[in-house]
Amino acid sequence: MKLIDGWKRYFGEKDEREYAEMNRIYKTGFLMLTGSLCVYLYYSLMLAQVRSVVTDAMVIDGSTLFILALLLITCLVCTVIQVRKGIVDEHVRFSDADVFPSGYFGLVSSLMGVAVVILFMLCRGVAEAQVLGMDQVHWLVNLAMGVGTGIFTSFLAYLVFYCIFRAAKSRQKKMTDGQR
Amino acid sequence: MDTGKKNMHLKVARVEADMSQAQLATAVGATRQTIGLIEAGNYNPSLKLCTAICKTLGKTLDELFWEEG
Repeated sequence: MKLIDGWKRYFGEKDEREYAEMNRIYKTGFLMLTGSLCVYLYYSLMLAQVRSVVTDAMVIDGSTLFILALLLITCLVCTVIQVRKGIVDEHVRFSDADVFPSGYFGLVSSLMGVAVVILFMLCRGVAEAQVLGMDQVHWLVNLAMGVGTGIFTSFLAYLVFYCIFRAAKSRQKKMTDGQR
Repeated sequence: MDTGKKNMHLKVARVEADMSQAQLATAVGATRQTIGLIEAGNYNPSLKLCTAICKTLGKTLDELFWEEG
């Protein structure tokens, strides 16, 4: 503790505006990093899946699995911290809602589903072109599979949002009741 | 974070206290730029920072941060 106190004394006080601005900057970086990692992982998995058509064996390299695990752990940690602080959403309208704002989260889940459809179709299309050649790219089949995955993702995201909402509301109640 | 309206009360109080932006910033644990932005109405400070500024300048929150209308 003395070391931490000494460290804090050495650096001095933090400027609240710059601290808030830095948080925004890091948020942008976090979103860019997680977004690009999602694209990379999706593409890697699609590439492995398309290669398995040729080689009869689906091989996913260790680094891809490591990044996947890292991404999932990071998102899980962020979600747990968010719930522990009783935060549902940064918008007052949704954060203060007593009942689950199904419209808002339904919209967000649907948008996530659409993103997955596009991502699936493009990543698989590029992977097919790379491994099998342009004439072997089945855009309609990829679209159909993407839609299936997108619908599944939407339902899953909606369920996750609902669980986060319930957990965060429960935490909010405990915090306001002084039962921390 | 942008209030859009210049805080002349703060600027006048700081000049009356014969302090520069840098001196006030050091006294309240903020940067000179933050004080400048508060005076320019481009940053809405926290209550903690408002209180620290008021104590340093010997003013009340009403005198420095209350906006009429």
